[in-house]
Amino acid sequence: MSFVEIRDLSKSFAATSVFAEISMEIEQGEVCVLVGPSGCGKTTLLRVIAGLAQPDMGRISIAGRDVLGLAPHQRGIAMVFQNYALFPNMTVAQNISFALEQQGKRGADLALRVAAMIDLMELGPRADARPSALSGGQKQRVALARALALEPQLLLLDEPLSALDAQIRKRLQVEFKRLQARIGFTAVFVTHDQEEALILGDRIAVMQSGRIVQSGAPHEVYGAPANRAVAGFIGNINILEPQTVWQVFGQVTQDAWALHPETISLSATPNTAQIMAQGQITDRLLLGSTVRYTVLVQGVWLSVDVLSRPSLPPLPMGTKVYLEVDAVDIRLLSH
Amino acid sequence: MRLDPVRIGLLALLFVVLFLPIVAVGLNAFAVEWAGSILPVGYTWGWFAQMVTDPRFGQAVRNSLILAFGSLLASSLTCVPAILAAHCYYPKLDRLLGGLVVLPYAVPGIVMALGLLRLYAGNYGIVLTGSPWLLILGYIPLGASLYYMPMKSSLNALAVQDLLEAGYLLGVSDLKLQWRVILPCVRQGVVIGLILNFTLVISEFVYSNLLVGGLFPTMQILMYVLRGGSGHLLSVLIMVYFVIVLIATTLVSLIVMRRKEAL
Repeated sequence: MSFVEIRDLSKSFAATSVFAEISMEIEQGEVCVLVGPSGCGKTTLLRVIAGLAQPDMGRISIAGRDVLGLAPHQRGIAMVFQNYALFPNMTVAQNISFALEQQGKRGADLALRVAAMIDLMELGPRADARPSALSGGQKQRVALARALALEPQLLLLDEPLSALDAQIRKRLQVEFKRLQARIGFTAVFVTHDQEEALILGDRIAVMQSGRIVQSGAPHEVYGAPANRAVAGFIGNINILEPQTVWQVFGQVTQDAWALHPETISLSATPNTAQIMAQGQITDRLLLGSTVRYTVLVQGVWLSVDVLSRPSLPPLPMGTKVYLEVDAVDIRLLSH
Repeated sequence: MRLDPVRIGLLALLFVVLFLPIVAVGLNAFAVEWAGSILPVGYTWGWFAQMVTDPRFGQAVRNSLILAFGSLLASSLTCVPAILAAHCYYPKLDRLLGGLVVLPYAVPGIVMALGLLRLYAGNYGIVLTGSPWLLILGYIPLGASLYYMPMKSSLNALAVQDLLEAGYLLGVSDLKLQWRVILPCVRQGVVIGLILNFTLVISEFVYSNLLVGGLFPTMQILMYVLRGGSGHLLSVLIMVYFVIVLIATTLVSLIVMRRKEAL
């Protein structure tokens, strides 16, 4: 039996179904990332798990205990909200201690725990600051400290990094990963950012239109998307319908192909590869460690990622190139 | 920044227009005699001494303060919880409340006064005629908007729903959340409402004259009584009233200036 089990959970508002028949399992110490486009129901699912909204049907158990009938604070859950929900009238230390006071902690025990959390999150110099005086990143750390101080069985995070700028977000993703490895908490992390999902998740559940369409390890979801929708959402995958495959590569297939941009090789001269096409570079983007080319092949645009090397300048626009694909890198997408 | 003489002139004119009546009343309160000259003939504390020793003055000030603080207590105990509850738990009612609080200002004072008289004249089992309670209760709807506006401004700056839910997850009751989190966050809005209410009640004449009149004379009633007598004594009373209102409005200004630091 898994640490967190969700079975056939459904929720609707009036006649509108938010999500239906959601089932998932999370092992202890695992971070499960719920990823999906805005409005797919992931935040409502999180709120139902937290007890802030009631499902129409289904079952949730945490550590073998059915929690559906319990009040939010009885479920052993802590939550980090999208806008942090820090109490504005309290300092960093007071925010953490207020949370612990509700668990009956008092005196030296309380002070020690607060100090430990402030230390863990490296908030020492800002312990007496109010939330209004903190940066976005610091607020996020306080929210995480307040949640972790409660030693929850399950930590829920509702897009906690979405309001931060890219640089801070990347730094905090690394910090979160490090913290999780150190403490080993079990978490459900909601995001609409597929890159964030791949970085943070031990397991990823892709939600679309109120349903989990694929669940698995990040490399499984990325490497073998279950359907067109997942392929279109995770990564920048080229999806080629059977007639397009014929048009571009001259191959006959019953199923659509999903080709990751990094699995397509570019060369100036043709070689002996079985799956090959000729095209022309129409656009290029330097993405740091990679260069993303847009190549026009038989009227079809394909994305191709090539490792960027300081010694080799990117290929100029208009360059005629050969595209080669290894058969093992082709993912078939059935209808 | 370059000083624009026209702008300075206009500001000076505005300043004079606003403050000249107050200065004139102040001078009249200290004037031995002031008739047919630009400035008074001489100055004296005599009018102040005469007013302070008049038993009606002490009674009027005391009554005004009883009314002001009584209505503050009554209005804060009714309006503040109602505004918090409507904003936090009943958004539909909150929209209704937003319309209701301005209603007393849309209704002519006489209509409102007659309504209050009917309500508290025993027609519905409550008899408060001639008692200050009639005014204390009657000022509640008038004061509601003075709490509503500043409190809503503070509440709208808060993600109240998230704060409540964060509290629920910690196991905090609604009452405790309101007391420990929400109320402290809107404290300045409440304080502004309190001071504005104080100013309203201590300045109010229409309702106090119509509803209790001479049975519970306030400073405004005394001003009305003195209007046919010595202008100097009336000026003294007005100056005392000004000082009280000035202290209240200065407090509001100080609080408003500090609001940005609060959240």
